[in-house]
Amino acid sequence: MTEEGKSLIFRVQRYNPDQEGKPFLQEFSVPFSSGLTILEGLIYIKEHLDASLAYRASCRMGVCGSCAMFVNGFPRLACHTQIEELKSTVVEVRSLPNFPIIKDLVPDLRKLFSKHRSIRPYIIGNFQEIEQPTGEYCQTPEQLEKYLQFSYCLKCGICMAACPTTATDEEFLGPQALAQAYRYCADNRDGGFAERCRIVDNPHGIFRCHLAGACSEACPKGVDPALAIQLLKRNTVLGSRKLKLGRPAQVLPPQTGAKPVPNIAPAPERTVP
Amino acid sequence: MREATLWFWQLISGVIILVLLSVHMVVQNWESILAWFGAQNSAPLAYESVIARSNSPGWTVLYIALLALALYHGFYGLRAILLEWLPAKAERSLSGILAVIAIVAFIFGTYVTISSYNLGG
Repeated sequence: MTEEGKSLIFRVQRYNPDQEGKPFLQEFSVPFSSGLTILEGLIYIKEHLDASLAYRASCRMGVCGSCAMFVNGFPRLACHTQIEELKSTVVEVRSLPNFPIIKDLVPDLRKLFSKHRSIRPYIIGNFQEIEQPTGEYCQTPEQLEKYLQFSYCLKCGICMAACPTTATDEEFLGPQALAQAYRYCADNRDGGFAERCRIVDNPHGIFRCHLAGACSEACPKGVDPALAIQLLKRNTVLGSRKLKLGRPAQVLPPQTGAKPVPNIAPAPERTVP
Repeated sequence: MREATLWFWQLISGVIILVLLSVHMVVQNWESILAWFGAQNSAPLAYESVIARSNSPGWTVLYIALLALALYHGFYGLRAILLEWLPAKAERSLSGILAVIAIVAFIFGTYVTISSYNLGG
């Protein structure tokens, strides 16, 4: 395995839209240390070798989804992938596939967000209650389990990059949007199943998914969008009553009649008007 | 028709074709199957046997059903593949053209089946 002090070869995709030419690979030499991640390698390059390198990164701990890239032939989160995982001293980093490139490693994710928005990714129900809540929604732990896994989506775009149908069909909604459509339909606080059915049941919706499964394989958070899409197909075809009955969930009024604990000291005088 | 309904019939036609096509394949290759087992007996592809099957209402219904389901299944599958390759606005034209070809093929096939039902003694 790679030792401390050895050098890694980073082949990084470069592309400048203001200049002529297609994207090309530029080589950099990066010193290896144990636990080094792809993102740390890119930061090293930007700080010491080429400050013009452009990439997105934010949380550096695998929860924001900004640093999704194509590393050694597989879409991954750069901050969440260690060099040692790749079992290679040559690291090839490209921009996320199936998205146009803005510059270097920065993809244009507008299509991802517009497709996500199109499936109405919010609780559809009593908007008055959502804007001005009067109580809590009733949701048992079993009901939470039905959609919790799918709510871990970071909107990083890795599933869209892995999906072969997204690669050929521009209009296909994609695993991210379809999985989130199911996430909201399965949430018992939501009453929008019929509406989302209409949105995804079209020639470029759920039925263009052929269960390649690449989305679930690539997802860094274990969301399993392929499962969500198959469940959504089943519910759409059978017109599932389970997703319509008892929706949206009832709201529990706040608890009243609680007695304050005796002998508590009064609050100090206000110091601000 | 809803895309969900079209897809549902793709599933159902696939299952039924599995059964009907197996019957068809066995009948067409009965001689070879028997020969493999060492027996030489009936001849389903001999003229008399073909005429007998054509005159039988049961077989006629089976073949018309197989034709309809296979055309539906095949053309829906072809449409799914082409939808991914063609621009979105081509969808209605594509569905229309494929539907017309499938219906013409079905009419032609049914005409042949019904005609052979009416032929012979």
